[in-house]
Formats: sequence, structure tokens, C-alpha cells
Amino acid sequence: MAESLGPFEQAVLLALLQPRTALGREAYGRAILKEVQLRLERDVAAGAVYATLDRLEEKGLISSELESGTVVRAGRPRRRYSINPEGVQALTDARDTVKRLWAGVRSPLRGPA
Amino acid sequence: MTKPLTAHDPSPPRWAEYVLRLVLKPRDRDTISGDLLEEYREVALPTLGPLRANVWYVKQTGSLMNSSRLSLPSSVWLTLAVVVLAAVLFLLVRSDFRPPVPLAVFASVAAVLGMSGLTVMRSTADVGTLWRASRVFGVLCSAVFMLRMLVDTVAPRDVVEAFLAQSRGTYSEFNDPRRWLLGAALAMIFVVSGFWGAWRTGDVRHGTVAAMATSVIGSVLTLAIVALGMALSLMIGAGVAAAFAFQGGGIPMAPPILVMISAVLGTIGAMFGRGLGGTRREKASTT
Repeated sequence: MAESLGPFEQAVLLALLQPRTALGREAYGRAILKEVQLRLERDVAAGAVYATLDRLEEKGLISSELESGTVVRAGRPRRRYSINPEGVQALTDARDTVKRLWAGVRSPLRGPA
Repeated sequence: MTKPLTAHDPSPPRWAEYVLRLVLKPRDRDTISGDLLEEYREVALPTLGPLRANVWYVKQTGSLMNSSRLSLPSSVWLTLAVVVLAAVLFLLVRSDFRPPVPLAVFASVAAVLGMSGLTVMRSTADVGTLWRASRVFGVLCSAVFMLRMLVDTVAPRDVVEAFLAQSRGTYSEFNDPRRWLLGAALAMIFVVSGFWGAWRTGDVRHGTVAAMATSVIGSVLTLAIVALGMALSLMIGAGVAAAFAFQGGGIPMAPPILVMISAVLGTIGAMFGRGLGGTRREKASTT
């Protein structure tokens, strides 16, 4: 079984797999940051997202390629990320793990009697 | 290819851009600084105005420095460590091993290093980890104090003569082995605990905070033992216990100064630990 993903890693992978906004579909650092903030419904430090993207790329779950920059970026290139099949599999495994964990547990939760 | 910014383009503070590019890996320098510049121009400036947009940019730079992307190469850390250590030794020799810089300057440097180190403490679990990493060094630190107190108990110093000696122009710490041996031993403990903290984690801040924890543990332990000595002397009137406790009378003055010294020396050790530990990791990852 592959190494399990943390919630933040899942949020980043989901942002790449199914972006909710037009900006998110552009899949570069800033766009992913916005998507993750949207999904987690909180402010997220840019450093945390970039560090996670680095880690996921090292694990082989995502890949990246450079695109040419725009005027507003002073010509600096963009790094566009995409999710690999291994990333999709890791997300599926993570969801299945949570499903198994919660199987048979009724909501709302109640404490011990 | 990066297009240079013109004076007409609204830009974040130049120094913040410089710091950002310095701490990023070469691979990320253009892409991440480009992302931030785009956000700065398209969102931050129009919504926040120039001043608050600049503050936003500096905060973003800070968040990138705080993350694991702070990636100066190990060789740079080692070079920095050697340069800083050489500078400190030079200042100490030049001042005849008296305080080499004004207290305010020293306290400011120590405060910056200390606060930067404390940013690694994010949960109570981190406190437990810090305790495990520092307790042995803390006990060693206390043992050095104890040894000094023991020596002073067995062969008491002439306090008046020691005081007068310090007022003489020719005074040097090297004329008083009890003082400089204690100082050198504590300095070594702080440097080594900083080294160990950064070696294990690959983060200089862990080394700084480990050295600070060492000084706190050492001081608290010593104070507890001195208090016990005083209590014993009161209860049983034991002369040796009283004398021992008396020698520790000055120890309560030490913790704030010790924490400042440990922050500086621990950071020097941590830079060596980061440099050598990083080199070891880099070698391991290529074999």
C-alpha cells in the first residue's frame, strides 16, 4: 500500500484534479494556492503550498513544466503542475481509507454511554 | 529570460525581492517570485494600496522562509558558520574576553535569533521533542555549575580581591581560570547542543532553540539544587550545605544572560550542524 496522504496533500491534489475556478484550471503555484484556500475555507501560507507541491513532485504524484511568463510577471516563467496517474491512485486510496475508517459509524456522533 | 522591472512598474520592496530570491532554490527563483509579483500587481496593490501591499509581500516572503523551502546549500551554511565563529573569536580576543559588544546590541541579536528559533515550536508535542533533545545537555550544563560551586566551597575565592581585579586595567578573564573554564565549558555545551539540534533536523532554528532549552534546563536544575542546599542548611544547620548554597547565590542572576548567550552560540553550532548534516544527507541521497 502506498504511503498515506495528509489532508493538505489531498487538498493540493484535488485542486489539480478537479479545479473549481477558471484560475484554478491554470494550475500554477498561485492558482493552486487559491484553489486550496477555497477548498479548505481558510487562509493558507504560500510557503506551505509550494513545499507540498515540491514534496508531491518528489513522490512522483505530480509533474511540472515551465511556461513562458507574462508582462505582469515581468516575463518570469510559470510552473504549471499536473497530476500523474500515481497521484490519482493515491487520492483514491486516501478516500477508500477514510471510508473504511468511518464504515458503520452513525452521525451525529455520540460519546460512550 | 527574466525581463528587468522598470521604474514605472509598481513593484514590491526591492530588498524583500532580494531576500526572497536568496532563499529560494535556483529552480524556483523565477517561477515563485513571478507568482508573487503577479499576485502583488493584480490583487494586493488594487485592493490593499501600496503600503499594505508591501506588508503583504513581506509576509509572503516570510512564509516562504518559514517553510522547508529555505534551502541555502550546506556549503553556504558551513562557510557562514566559519565566518561567524571567526568573527566572534576575533571580537572576544580583541576585548580580552570581556563582553565584546554593548549589551543592547548583544541582546538584540540574541532576541532576533531566539524568536526565529521559537517559530519551530508549533505544538505541545514539539515541547516534548525539545525536552528529549536538550535534557542531557541541560544536565551537563548544571553539572558544570555544580562543579564550580563545589570548587568554590572547598577553596573559597577572595571575593573582594576578585572584584578589585576586575577594576584594574590589566584584568583579563584568562587571569581567573575558574571563570573562563566555566565559561568555556558552558560555551562548548551550547555549541554542541545547537549542532546536534540542527544535525538531526536539518533546520538551524531547531539548533538555536535546543541550545536555549539547554540553558533553561541547566539553570532551573541548578536553582533547584541550590534551593535544596539552602533548605538543608536551614533544617540541619550543616556548614557545608550552607557554604555550597551560598556559592550558588549568584546563579539566579544567570538565566536571562545564559539564554541570550545560548541563542548566539547555539546558532553558531547549528550552522555547523546544518552544514555538515546537510552534506551527509546529500552524500547519502546520491549513493
